[in-house]
Amino acid sequence: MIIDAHVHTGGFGGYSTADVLRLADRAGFDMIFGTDVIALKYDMTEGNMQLAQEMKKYPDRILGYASISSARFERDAVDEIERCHEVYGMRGLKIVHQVVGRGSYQLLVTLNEPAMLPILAKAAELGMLVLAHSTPEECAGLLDKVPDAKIIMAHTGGCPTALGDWFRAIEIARHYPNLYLDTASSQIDSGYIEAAVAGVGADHVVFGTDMPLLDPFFGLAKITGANLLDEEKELILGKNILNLLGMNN
Amino acid sequence: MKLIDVTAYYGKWPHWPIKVTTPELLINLMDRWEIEQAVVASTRSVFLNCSDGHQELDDLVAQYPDRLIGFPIVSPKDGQEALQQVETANSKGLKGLRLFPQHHQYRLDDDPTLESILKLAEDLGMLVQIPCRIMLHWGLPQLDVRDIDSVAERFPNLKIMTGGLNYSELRDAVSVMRKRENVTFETSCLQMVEGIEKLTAQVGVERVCFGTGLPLQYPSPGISKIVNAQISDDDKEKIFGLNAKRLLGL
Repeated sequence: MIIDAHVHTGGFGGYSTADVLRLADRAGFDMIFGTDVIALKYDMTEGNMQLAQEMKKYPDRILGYASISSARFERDAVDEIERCHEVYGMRGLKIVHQVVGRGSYQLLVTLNEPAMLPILAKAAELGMLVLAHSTPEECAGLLDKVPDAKIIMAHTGGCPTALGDWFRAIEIARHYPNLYLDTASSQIDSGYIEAAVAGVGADHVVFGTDMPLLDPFFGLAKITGANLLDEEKELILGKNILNLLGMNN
Repeated sequence: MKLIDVTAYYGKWPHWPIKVTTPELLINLMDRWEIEQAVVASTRSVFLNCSDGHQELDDLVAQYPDRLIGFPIVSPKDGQEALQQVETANSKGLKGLRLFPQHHQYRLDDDPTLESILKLAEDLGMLVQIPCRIMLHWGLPQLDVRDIDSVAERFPNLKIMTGGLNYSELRDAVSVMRKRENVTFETSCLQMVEGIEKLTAQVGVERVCFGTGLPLQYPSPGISKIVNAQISDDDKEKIFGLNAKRLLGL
């Protein structure tokens, strides 16, 4: 079974959720773990509700991340993710750090801030997987404060704000048993998938593509083409997510 | 289908360990992914001095003349020596060269030596590759593809290939290519969804060439995105090799 654990739904880049599922079909993915673009970029309530409707429409295809655009919504965000879990049946939480300003005035609004802690604690309490578009240091900082949270580090450092530094991502993840690494990234540095498996174990690496931003065939090929055992590839491509969600039966 | 990879490298990599650092391993990697020929440049020329890399490249290509096509990296910062390097490359039958202004720290629009290099390459019919990234790594230097526009305008008969470009830069690349017919595109860093379909629809399939960035990047994703693109088999054949064959006069 192949589960893509890093997917954007709800109209990202002009691709409807039905379009995304067609891409998943073509690539041979059984399920997608989706985060709604409206929730992530504009309004969490509206976007998460949209995703909930799509989960109802495609119950065998879509797992849902509750998404929030900022920790600054504080109590409302805590209530929102609880509703997403209890009412909508979402099994994950998507959080993303924000880049503000332009050029030399560009700043990163870190995820590792006090407002995030009650949100993360609620996710941990509900057993929700947290997909965090973040730097490795942010993940470490959050897990120091909420060690029961289960965090998937989106992109394994392979995003502009983490300077593409998958090596550092792996080094940090080695010290945090509840930190998992996501394979979604434009980067295909030779050896980095093998290094992730060697560093944290195949049971801590999770397949993601970031579609419909990135090409799903491209994302899949970096796993299927890696020098790994077939059992390791199976874990990465789907079994790990099923195990983490208690869906392995 | 014959695969010609227009974006390959040879040498050590200073940022993290890579395994493929010998000629034999490079050929093994190409064999594994059924890449028949590769246009290869020396990383030594990127990070140290160009001429040392040229010697290494000569030795490499001499071992596998049917598999590897050497493209020396030159820099206008080497002055007259760079011009001599282009002459030498041409006399050896090399078909082109590769430029890395983002690594060698010069601009494409204000360097008299660069003008001479480009004029010479134009006169000799050599292909000049100007990749905007050496590989898709967010921590490495990047060139703005719009900077290539003025080069293509000043040297309308120069064969230019850009690449190392991803979703954020595709619009600018297409804009340059629409204006400048002498610019082609290699695919090693185009990781966006349906990127091959979007690119070929906008600039024409004849101007798109398959590149992987091996051995710095995994080859398989670069192959898979073309194999699975929703374009005709004839178009895939052009991207995978026929276009490169035409451009390189193979």
